[in-house]
Amino acid sequence: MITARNFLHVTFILGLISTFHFSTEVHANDLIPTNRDPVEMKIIPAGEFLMGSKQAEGRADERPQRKIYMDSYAIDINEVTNERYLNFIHSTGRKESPNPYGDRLLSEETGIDSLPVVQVTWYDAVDYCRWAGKRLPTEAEWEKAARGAQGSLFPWGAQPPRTKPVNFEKNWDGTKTLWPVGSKTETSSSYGIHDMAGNVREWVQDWYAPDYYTNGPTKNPRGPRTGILKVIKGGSWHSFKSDVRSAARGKGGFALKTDGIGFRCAK
Amino acid sequence: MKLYVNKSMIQLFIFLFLAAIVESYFPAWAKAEPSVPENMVLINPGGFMRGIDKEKPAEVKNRMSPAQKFNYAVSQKAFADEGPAGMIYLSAYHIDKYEVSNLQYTEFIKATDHPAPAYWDHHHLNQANQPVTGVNWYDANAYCNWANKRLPTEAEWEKAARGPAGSIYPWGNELDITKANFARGTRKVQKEEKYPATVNVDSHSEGKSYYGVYNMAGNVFEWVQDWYDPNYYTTSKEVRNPQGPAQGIKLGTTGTYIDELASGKKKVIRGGSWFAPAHSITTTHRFWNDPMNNSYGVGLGFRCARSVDNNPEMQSRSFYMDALIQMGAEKYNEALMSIDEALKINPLNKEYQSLKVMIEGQSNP
Repeated sequence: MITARNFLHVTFILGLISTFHFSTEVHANDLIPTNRDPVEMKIIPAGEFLMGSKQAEGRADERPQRKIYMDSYAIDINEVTNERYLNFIHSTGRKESPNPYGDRLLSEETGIDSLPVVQVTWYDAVDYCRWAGKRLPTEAEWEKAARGAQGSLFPWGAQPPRTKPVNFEKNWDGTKTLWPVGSKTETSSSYGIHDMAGNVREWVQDWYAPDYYTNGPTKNPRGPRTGILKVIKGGSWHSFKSDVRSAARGKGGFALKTDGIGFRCAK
Repeated sequence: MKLYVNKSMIQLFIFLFLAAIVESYFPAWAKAEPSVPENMVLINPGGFMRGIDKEKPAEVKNRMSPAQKFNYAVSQKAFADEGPAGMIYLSAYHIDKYEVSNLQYTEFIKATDHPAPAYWDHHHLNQANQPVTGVNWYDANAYCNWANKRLPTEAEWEKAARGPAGSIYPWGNELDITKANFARGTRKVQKEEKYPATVNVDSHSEGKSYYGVYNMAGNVFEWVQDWYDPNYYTTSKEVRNPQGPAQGIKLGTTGTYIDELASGKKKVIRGGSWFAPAHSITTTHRFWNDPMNNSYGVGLGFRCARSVDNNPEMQSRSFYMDALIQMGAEKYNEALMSIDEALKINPLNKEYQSLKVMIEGQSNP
């Protein structure tokens, strides 16, 4: 019993140590997509946007709504797909992530190339973006890309998700559960970023703190210095409406893996 | 030899007597207390043996790797956190028969706009009757409040799992892999079964506790009310309705960033999980987690409890019944403590007095 307990501790602590290796920020001076990950990115111009929720809206941890200034940055238009992620796996020799669709290896599964990758930890996401010469977006970068400068409730505006083709409040249905990335452009954000509500939730860089929307800086916020949980944005195929709102703040430990958490990169 | 036969006969008599009481007394009680809420059980007021005295692991440090030694400094106190064993008295309470299910948690989310748990979109864990998985302490607390209940205290959880005779597992003292869902996170199991996971909250009825509470061993770890302090059983003087330490202690802080994360104040989690190893599913095992953490491991849920008004007659009667059960299990010291409690409330009761004489006769033959 002692060794088992110790093992848990050691694993946990080693996990924490490895956090340091990935905390370096990658600054964008070159917005051309990298050769390793040749996908379209969009430059979000410098300027203010409305982050968080007004008094009567949302939950306590998203309030108050504040004007936040962001330097310019670039963000992937689409979530990272299985095809892109497996390319990374094969060129780095990493172990494949679990296949949620069946008993085979993920790489042996057919018809899933354009679906967003899931079953990835926060570390997996960080490693992928680094390999691609990019990094995870911060929570503020993610929220600005989704809401535009005027802080819309959902990426497409204020209309409830029921009125749009949004993948949420669904039950698992194998390879039909997730939608191919970028397939519903009518729900894109005002910056032209796809699938920021539903389908898969997305890891971002920041630690989660419930009071960060109150106390965080108003210029290029990068999240609290430490924490227990990482922020996850955007809701997934099984989420309810309130978790699909762009200001909503999901959270999970960095080792969390589900059938509904993926990511996109920024630069 | 003669003594041995005598003893067995007395025990047989006690068991028969007990069976008769359970048959006749409990239905009457149920009628008198129609307010036991659906899918909860009533735990009578009374004492139980909390914790367990373990032998200090000999020479354990010599067998450790340097990494383990480093870590040992942080957690050695936790190895002894289940002792010393001691009698604890609890007022009557109700506790959920089952862990809170995804279906129940869905109702809560819909009613309150509460955020979904961490494993909400994991299809091997999110089916309606599986326990909700991936909630932090605040989520669990909010759910229980919404349901007009509260989280059980650590002592309430342990009593509901152990029963008055203080068993090691909810069903008894022998480990039995058919009676609980645990230790299925190993490579071997994952090879044999494609998708080991949590089971429905009403599974393993053969592994329920003396009080009829399900899955107190394995399936998901369960949050309880109390802060975690490995020394609590040693330092706390509270033997009646203990509520846990006023504050969580920081485990082994050395001031580094790593430690800061690992060493914040923790809440107690109980019962082991489908993933966790066998040693974690005993009724006395104490583990801990940051109250903010919703995803330490793949099985983290809870059940709720509710306080019940106590009347003295009911209280003394249930101490008396505990004494009978403890005597049947040859736990004479516990039986003596229980009957003394009954007599404290109702000193003139002839039944109680004669049982006390009987117990004393057994403990000093």
